[in-house]
Amino acid sequence: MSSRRNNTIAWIGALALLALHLDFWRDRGTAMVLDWLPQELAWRLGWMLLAGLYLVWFCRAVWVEED
Amino acid sequence: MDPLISFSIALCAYVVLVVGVGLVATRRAGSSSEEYFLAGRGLGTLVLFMALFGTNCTAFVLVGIPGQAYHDGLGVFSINAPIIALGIPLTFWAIGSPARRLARELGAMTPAELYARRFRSRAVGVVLFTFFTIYTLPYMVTAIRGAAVTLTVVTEGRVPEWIGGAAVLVVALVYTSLGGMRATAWTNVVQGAIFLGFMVAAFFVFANGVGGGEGLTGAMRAVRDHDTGLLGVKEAGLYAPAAWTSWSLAISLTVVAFPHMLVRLMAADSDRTLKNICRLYPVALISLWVPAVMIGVFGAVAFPGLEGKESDRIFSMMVTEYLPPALSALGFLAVLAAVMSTLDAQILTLGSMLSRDILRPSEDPKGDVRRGRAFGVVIAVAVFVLWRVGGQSIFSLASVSFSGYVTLTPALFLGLRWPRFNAAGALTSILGANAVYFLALESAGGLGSAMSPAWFGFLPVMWGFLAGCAGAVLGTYLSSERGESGAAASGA
Repeated sequence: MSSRRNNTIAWIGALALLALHLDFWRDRGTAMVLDWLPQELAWRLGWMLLAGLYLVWFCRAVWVEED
Repeated sequence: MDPLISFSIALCAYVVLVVGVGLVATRRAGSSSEEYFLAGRGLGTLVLFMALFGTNCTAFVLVGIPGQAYHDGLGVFSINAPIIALGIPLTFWAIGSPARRLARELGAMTPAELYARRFRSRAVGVVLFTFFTIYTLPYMVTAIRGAAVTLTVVTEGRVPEWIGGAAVLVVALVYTSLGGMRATAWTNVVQGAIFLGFMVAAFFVFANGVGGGEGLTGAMRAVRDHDTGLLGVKEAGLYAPAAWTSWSLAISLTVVAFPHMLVRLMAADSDRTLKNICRLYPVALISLWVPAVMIGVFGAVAFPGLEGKESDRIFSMMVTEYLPPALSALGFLAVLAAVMSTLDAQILTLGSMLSRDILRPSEDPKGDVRRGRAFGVVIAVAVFVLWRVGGQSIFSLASVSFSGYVTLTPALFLGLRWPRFNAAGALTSILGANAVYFLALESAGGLGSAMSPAWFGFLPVMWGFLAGCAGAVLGTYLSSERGESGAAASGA
């Protein structure tokens, strides 16, 4: 994949994650998932998982090593 | 065993361990200034990761965050942890990686020296040094106070605060002076392991205690029955949209602008190492932040009724309540480890900046190291004096510092990524950003108002950052001076 295309995907990915973090549109309920995980915490951990995957991809596809 | 005795034994073991690790690191190190200030620019993944993480995570995460979560619940996690898991690694790429390469190319050993050489402007170096120092010293004072108070509480007042604070400074100074960056990085591996390991273990033990022996399920049920609001996010104050957005900007950008973080990024042996660290950061943040926040939430169930800043004691209350004395000593060591893992980096970095940015680099490589050690002592003494005579204003300034670093980020970023960016742009950016930041603080209510809305609901940090961006562009285009091109301002 071209670096220009990767850069575009990286920007879109970062902006999408930012939009999901600024989630004032979401109902931030206090229900539990599986009876032990608060919905709010589950949402944030899910977001962090996505961010982690994004970073793994970013390091491989966008970050050019210049050593 | 008497709690005081078990704590004394644990404390002695800890001091012997960190000083011992510092000594071993010293024996591995060479004697050049590059070795002392930057560990020979050769830190690999594990040591650098723990050094960065240990430096990044202050005692505030262990003590202040549970205290805040006691009142605000899971919202404290929501507003902080996710965005830094993404933001910090991206700033390592945007600023840390080119800073490392350019510092190697230009022979720079401190952040201010890097930018002074990049712009061929001593003024840029001095201005950066000034703001780095203004924002870092109050930070160090609050850390020392936190460690001193912890020692006094644990020893039931038998160790006065001033002796506790002085002892922490002396121990950090000893191993920092012995082995410089390599010693601080190696000791941070030990310190990070202590506080990270303790927090993860304590989380499960406390959950079991609060949950009446039913583990996490019981604990969460107890929280829901006590106050279901603790499992959600508040809507006012810092959690309102404009403040939330400003805070997201602040907390994700500020870390790379800590001089003691940036200098560690400059000590990486390669871009590959930095990449590995970026991949590890989210996992480590989850491991620390989930326990830190949940300890406060569980504490609200175990010790209801604390008001205001009283909740900052919730960490030690939970440790004392749910852990046997021998293990509770580890809890206080965890706080101490978090304090010292940041403090050593700050002493080393400010000492090296005094040595190389204010005085000119010495012709004799060992001369720089000697000066760095001497200035480390000067910094430690200054922190101690500020703590004892500075009064409340120092602590107000500390809350300003965290956001204040963000005002430097436009210049730090553009200085590495925009070849046309010049010294005039950098100076306009830094000075303009700080002028607007302090005006916004004044509008928000004064020095203690860094987390209160200024204009249109946004926090002062947002206005300072925007002013920094505008100042950078205006200063650059209105000046006839050309920026460096090519390798000197290496692009992405």
